[in-house]
Amino acid sequence: MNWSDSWRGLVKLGLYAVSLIVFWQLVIWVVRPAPWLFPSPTAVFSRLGDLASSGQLWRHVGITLSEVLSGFCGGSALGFLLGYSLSRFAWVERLLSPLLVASNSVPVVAFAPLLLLWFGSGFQTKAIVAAVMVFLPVGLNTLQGFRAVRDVHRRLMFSLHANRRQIFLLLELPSALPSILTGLKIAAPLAVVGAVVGEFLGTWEGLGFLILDANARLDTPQLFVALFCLSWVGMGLYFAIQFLEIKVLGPQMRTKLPGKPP
Amino acid sequence: MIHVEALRKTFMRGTVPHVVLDGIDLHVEAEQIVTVIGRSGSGKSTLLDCLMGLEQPTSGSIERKQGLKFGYVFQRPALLPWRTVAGNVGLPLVVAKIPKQRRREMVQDALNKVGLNYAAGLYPFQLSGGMAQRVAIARALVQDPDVLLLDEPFSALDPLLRENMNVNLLKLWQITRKTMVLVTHSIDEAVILSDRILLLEKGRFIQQFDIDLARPRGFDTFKTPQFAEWVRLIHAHLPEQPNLPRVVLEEPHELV
Repeated sequence: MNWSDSWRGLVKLGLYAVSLIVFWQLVIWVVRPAPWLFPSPTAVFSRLGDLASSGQLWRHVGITLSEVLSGFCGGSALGFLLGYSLSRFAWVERLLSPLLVASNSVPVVAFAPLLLLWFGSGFQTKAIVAAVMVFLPVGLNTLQGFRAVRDVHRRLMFSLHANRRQIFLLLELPSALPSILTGLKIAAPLAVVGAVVGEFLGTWEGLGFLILDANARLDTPQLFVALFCLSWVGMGLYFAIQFLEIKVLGPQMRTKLPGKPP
Repeated sequence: MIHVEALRKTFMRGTVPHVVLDGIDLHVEAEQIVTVIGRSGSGKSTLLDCLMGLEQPTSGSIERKQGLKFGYVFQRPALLPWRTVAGNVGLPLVVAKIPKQRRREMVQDALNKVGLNYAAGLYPFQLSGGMAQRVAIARALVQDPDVLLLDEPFSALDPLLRENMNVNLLKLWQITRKTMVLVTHSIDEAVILSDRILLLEKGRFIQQFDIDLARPRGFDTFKTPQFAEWVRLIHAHLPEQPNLPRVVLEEPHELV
């Protein structure tokens, strides 16, 4: 994976989107569904234009985006701490692993009403639901990453008389990084799910609200607009992490492409 | 340089004490290459760990010259895949908090000694097995240690490459005159490199050989009758492998 590959991927993605829209319009022409059941791309785009020019769309997108980002960052940070302490201290694992297994078997979304009860219906609840969603995937991937540190490398650091901090910074963290980034990539769309679920529980703003509002008024084009915006938020986060991955792991990732020396 | 007397090392296997080293005497003088031969599990690696101070002896004494510095070469190169060759060689200097400018000079110097200056910017996945082990040797040399400890350094390489690496190590010795303590399975390797060879069996040295092959040694030394004689002699002194599974062929296979 390098930059020209990424650009080529982006162009391909664009072409893909355009052909999907063309296909969509063809279906509308042939099948002629009721507009409130399945709107045409033109109807969706004009609704998008309305919402964008009135500034409403940006407000809702901005709110959901900040919920997603703060939940993602907070949940990931806590997940990282969890994963690291699980790998580092046996007693933490003994203490927490039954709890983790139990909570992992409940769909995280099911906790949302409880969180609403505890934290009210404000911004913080949505961010917290998003954080709860990302917490475990990031934590478990972090744990796996730190467990994958090779013994021979530990022995090397030991023979160099490295202190605890040096072992962490020079060996453990770089070893675990690929796995941690994988965890973040898995968690990115989950953060969006969390924020929207939080919004469904009651709010007057955000893309989740836009969906509920559209549903109540049978404004299906607006529903589509909100769905697209959500997928852009999710994809944006995903690609941001991918960008980070290429930046941080550049030389390591190239090892996975055989026969192509940089 | 290093004087070991009556060294004993016992590990607990569960509740059962397991004697790994059982009364070792070892004297290594400056600029000597001393080799320990022994089968897997005979306590070779533990001996190196004790010499370096990574393990404390259960009893006995290890006298080292004050402030003696060690460089350690492992069985596998153990390079960090996210660091370049230069970054890997410089790792001990980073841990020792040597300033960056000085670090660069020392890394260059160490890479020069193993002939890998051109590879400074490569990553470990771009190296062959032999190159990777030379990088590991450069890493062990980078702090200019007084003693180089080598734990089966070439056992993962194919035999031809191994001879090559042995000769490289001899050249390195000619330049640096480093004291080396080597652990190996290979009798050829032991004979070509060493001033002294010790056979380790069940935690004790059972035999000692002072190899008098003339230095500088090189590829030609492998072909001399003296070399062959030493290899034969050491073979003759190797204890028989106990409980070796016997291979029984029922029917001779016919080749079509």
